[in-house]
Amino acid sequence: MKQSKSKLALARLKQYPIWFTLPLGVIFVTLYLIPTVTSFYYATQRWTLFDSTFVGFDNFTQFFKDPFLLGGVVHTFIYAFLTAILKVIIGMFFGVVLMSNIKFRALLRNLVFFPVLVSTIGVGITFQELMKPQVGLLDQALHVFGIPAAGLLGDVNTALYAIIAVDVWKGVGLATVIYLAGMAGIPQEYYEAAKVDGVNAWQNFRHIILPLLRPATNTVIILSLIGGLRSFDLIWSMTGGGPGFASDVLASLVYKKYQAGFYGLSTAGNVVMFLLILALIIPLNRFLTKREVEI
Amino acid sequence: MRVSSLKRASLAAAAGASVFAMSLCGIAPAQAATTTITWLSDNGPSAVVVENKVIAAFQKANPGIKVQLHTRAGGAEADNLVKTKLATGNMEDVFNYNSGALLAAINPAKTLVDLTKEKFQKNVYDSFKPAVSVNGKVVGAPWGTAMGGGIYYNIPAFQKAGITSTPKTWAELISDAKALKASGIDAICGTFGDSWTAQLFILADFYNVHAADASFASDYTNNKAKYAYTPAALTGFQHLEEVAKDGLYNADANTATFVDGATRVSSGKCGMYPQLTFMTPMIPAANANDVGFFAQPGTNAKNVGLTTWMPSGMYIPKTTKGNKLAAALKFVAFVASKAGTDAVVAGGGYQGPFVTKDQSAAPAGVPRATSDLTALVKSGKTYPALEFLSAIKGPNLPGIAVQVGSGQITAKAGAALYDQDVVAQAQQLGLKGW
Repeated sequence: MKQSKSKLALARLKQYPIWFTLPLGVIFVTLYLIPTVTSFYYATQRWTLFDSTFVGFDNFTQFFKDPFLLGGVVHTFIYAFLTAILKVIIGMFFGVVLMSNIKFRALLRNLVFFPVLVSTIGVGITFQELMKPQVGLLDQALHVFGIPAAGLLGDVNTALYAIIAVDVWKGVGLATVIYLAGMAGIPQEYYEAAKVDGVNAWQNFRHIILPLLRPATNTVIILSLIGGLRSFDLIWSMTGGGPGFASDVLASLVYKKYQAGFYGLSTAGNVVMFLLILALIIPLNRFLTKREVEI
Repeated sequence: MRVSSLKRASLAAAAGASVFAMSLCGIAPAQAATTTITWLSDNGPSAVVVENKVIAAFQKANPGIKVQLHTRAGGAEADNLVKTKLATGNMEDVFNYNSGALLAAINPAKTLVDLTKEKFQKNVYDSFKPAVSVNGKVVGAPWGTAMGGGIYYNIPAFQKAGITSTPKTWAELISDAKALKASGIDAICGTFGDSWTAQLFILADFYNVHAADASFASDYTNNKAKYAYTPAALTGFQHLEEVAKDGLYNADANTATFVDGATRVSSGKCGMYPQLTFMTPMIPAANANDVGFFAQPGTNAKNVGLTTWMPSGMYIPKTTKGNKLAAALKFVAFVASKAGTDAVVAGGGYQGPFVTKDQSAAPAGVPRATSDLTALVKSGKTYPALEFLSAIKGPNLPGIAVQVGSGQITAKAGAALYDQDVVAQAQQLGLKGW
């Protein structure tokens, strides 16, 4: 009897922390989980805010018939992979540099992280002005290198890459912080042992830092890939997907459909995007973590 | 003690909430017998001036009614806001919104009060009514003035280039543009940074489309005619292609904006700018006589006419009831009366002809572009834009027009893409035969 009472108390004690997750849980369920599940239903309807009719898979057929879909998918992949790769390389570089004993280290760390704190839309509008042909500061500065007369955002061939560059500028601070944390977690003993063995700086990086940073690298890759695949706000504020459709990605195509009032069609597009990201990220995550264990 | 402090706190909260609610609704504690109605309208700075003038004039004539102005942004944002407000029953007592194709998307038969039998309709031109009608019922009154789609031009720049009259055919327009370019300025303003501006050569060509093929609008709505296979309709796309190919746009056409276009055609940095006449208020007063306006010419110099855009509509949602409905009806009737148009003129809102019979005369000293527009309308050679004749307007026309206008794809390919694009719109509206 006494024992069961204390068991009960223990169970209660175990339950106690769950209550702390409840507020966030409610938000997650109502604003994320329920909409995600119901979107599968709404994707089969042709609906306005006033009424709806069941159309089966018509929305999906119509979505896949979209002449701009292929371009959008290609742009999405270019965007996601390029930003992920650049964030890994530059983020790791900054991480290593900012871990070493350099002057103004704290200041430089803050400077690298600062763009992460600024609103994406604000960044987009600022760079749009900076890249304005003839009048923008950045455009004038880059003129010596012979950039297109229509401006970086105005040229069909450079618009997407200009946005990617800004995305990396804005996002690399977060990658750097992840790398800094990863490097702080590497025990000093490794370096000391290596020092005894007489390794040089490159060997130090190649054989100690790089392999032990793999978990950090995986986090950066997964985060920036997911971010890149569903990227929207920066693209929308800088070019609106233009010129024409030259920088349109999946998310902006879906948004345009919503804007036009094709709610069923855009929901179908969202479902497709959701499945696509899932199909890409789950195997990738498994692959990356598997390699992590092997080391 | 505990209870009472709780009570006090909740009382204070309730009082705070009601003050907050009042400030939200904009209802000032006023004397009884006053009916207050709310009006949702455009937030453009020049529009707000006109709106306040109209409210002031109305309240003076109707002391028992107060009108509270709520403003909203334009474009796609307005579409979403208006649809959401109507669907959730939160619409203001009166609101104005586009007439024509966009009206169909807000489900007017279900959401709007039928105004067919209102007395003020006698004062409204019949040519306007189809643009605010659904199933034969008129649900709106005209708000503001009619617009034209055509080409603004800088008069000193034309003179400097040795051009003596505005072009009467498209071929003349191109040779004029080449002369402008030779004189050292940008011939035609491209402002594809605001992609909707790229559609003008296509949309403003509809007078010419109709002149060549009178059944296009109905055939198009019934899925029988296509842009890509109707030579007259394809012309607009070809104009974009030709101007791009001849290098007649400014170098930064892909990123320049609507404001850039208005500024440049006013200052003479570029010679011509295809646009809707709602740009006129953006012309600086110093340049008011430098900027003229002409209709987009076609192939026939003897039949140059203007594609017109109807004024937007004033609507009353079905959620407005009782005293407020009576007041709202009075307000809408006022806007459609001569006194209403007088107030619009007083606020500087005369940008073209009104569509009411008993209306305010054109004020003296209007900008050159406005008097050009009025003269074009008076000539009688006008025809409504396609969006007032057909509910189908594909959402991707701006992007496709930019693709053609920046030389990414051919006119024919652009027209074919647009034909594909309108399918989703027709299906969403539930039109037969799509």
